[in-house]
Amino acid sequence: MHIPDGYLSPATYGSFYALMLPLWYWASRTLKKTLKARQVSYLALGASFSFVIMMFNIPIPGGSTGHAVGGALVAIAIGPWAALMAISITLIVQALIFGDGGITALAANCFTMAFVMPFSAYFVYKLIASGSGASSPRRVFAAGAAGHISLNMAALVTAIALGIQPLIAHKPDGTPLYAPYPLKLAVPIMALEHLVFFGVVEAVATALVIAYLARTEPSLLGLTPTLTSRDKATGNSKGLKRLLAWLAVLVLLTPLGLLASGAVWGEWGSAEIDSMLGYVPEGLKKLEGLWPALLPDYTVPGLESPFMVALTYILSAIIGVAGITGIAFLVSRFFSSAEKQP
Amino acid sequence: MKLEWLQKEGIGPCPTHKAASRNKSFIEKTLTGIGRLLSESIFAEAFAAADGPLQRMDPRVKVALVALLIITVSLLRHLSLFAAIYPGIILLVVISRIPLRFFLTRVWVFIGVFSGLLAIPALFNVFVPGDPLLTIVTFEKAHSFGPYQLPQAIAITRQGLGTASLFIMRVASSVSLVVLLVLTTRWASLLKALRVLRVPRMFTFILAMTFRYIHMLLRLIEEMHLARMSRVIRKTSAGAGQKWIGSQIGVVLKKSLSTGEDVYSAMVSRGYTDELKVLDTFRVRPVDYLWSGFALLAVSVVLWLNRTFG
Repeated sequence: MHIPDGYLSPATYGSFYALMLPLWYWASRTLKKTLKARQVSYLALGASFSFVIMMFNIPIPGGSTGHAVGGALVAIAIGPWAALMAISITLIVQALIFGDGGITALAANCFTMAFVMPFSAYFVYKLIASGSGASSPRRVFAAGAAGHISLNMAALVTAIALGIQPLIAHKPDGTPLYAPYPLKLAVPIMALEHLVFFGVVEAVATALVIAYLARTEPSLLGLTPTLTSRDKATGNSKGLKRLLAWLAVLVLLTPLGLLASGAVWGEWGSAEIDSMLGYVPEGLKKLEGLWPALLPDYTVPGLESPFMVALTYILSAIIGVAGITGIAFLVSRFFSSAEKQP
Repeated sequence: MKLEWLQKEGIGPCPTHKAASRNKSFIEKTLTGIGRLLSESIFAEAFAAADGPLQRMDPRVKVALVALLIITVSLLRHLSLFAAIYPGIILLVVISRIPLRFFLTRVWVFIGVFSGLLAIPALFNVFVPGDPLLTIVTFEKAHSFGPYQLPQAIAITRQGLGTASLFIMRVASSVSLVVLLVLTTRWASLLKALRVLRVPRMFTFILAMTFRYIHMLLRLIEEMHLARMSRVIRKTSAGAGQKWIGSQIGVVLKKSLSTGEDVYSAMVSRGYTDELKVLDTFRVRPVDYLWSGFALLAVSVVLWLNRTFG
């Protein structure tokens, strides 16, 4: 999952740096408030733990072994914001000293493994385990599900980042300049190996460690500073479930958009503006092309059959909803932590 | 009896051990991994202590220049430019007194194992469409499975060859630059020097501490695995092994959290007040300006050529 240097185009890794800078800033702000002066030693040891967790080889029936990434476990143990910082630090050490993952790709790796993975894991874990006792099987299951789902989320984002490279960076004759495989290859291959193999290893490792901690040190699963403040915030889980169900229905209905014709009001391109107004404003002409869409028209080139188009619509909707939910979650966290201060 | 392996320089397991355990258990794999990691960081320090021009360079200047070079490498679009800069990197390796064989093995084994294997399928028009250069097989007709197409003639393409070689050279140049930086800089200076890239002081401080405690936790894990290996004589089931690993990761987690607390107490009792004072002894010398000027010139020329080639 560590993307080396040379796989991502400057536009892509630059965007990831632009995404990570505010996240790092918010994380350090939040931790300064919750951990105060102890954050230095707390994060250093958290980061050391995130590093060494990958050293553990986990036996798999059949004689093979695999290792866990640990993002889910770290998030459950020290909270997602501390996990973001701790795993980022681990990734810097790995990139600089052990050559694992690139320097230009550092922010991309931090985004997938230090942001997407711990936050999705924490969300899944809280959603399933909330209200269960320390030693209930539901908590262990929640940990396993968090490990599996979060690793696959991170793998999906990695695959998308790699898969868009041939689209956005190629020579005039079509020679890809960076990672050469398109989305239709990168996504299924990453998804397959992570759904079937790495995800299972991650799930087993996360579940076993949480089961062990529940047995021997239940206080650790509910007494870290970030965890306790979050516990109160997720009290309203019934409303949340209803919201999630609605979102799922809406996402599945997105291919209905195919039936509509014409441009969406307010989303005209310069050609449509030209036919409506008779001219194209200078400023618009300049700005168009400044933001080439990641998924132009919500479909992926090369996937043209009606079923695939519908599928890419649904995929686009999931990515969009996840993105917006993520941003909303961050903003709400930002304001709620600001309010709590006396 | 001759024990040649004992006289060899460097660190490693004895060869009889290697031969005896072809099918390694998860415990041995972990122990080997830890051993390799520890010896790697010791090796790197040995080269960093050598007396070479790159070792003498101010770490901040070196970090900034390597960052600049890696970004430049990521911008290049032509194989010929990589052919021009790679000998330059090799020259830097040689004048830094890093054994060339060691350096090339370290860089190219990594690239061969990961990026090389990854690049091979890209040669064929099955994965990257393009103009055929060398046809391998010809079928009666082209097939298509949903969004996937199998062309009638499977061939190595010009575009495929271009992308694979460009991809490998780009990865190789970036990895070489990072390895060069790591091998010529003490890790403590390297982490401190990140300040020059606007990394906050708090971060660089935590980084240095992390690196130190990684070693402590690695020793702990090593001891736990050795203890188990020396007490278990028969093969255990994968399930039992998994359960044991789960508890060990839990123990390491508890240990790291409690150590974090202990370290904090120790810091407070020595007068720590949330304010970091770090001893910076870096000094930029005239020769560092010379290096910077040279690097900027080289980067400008390469980027200009990159532009002219289109």
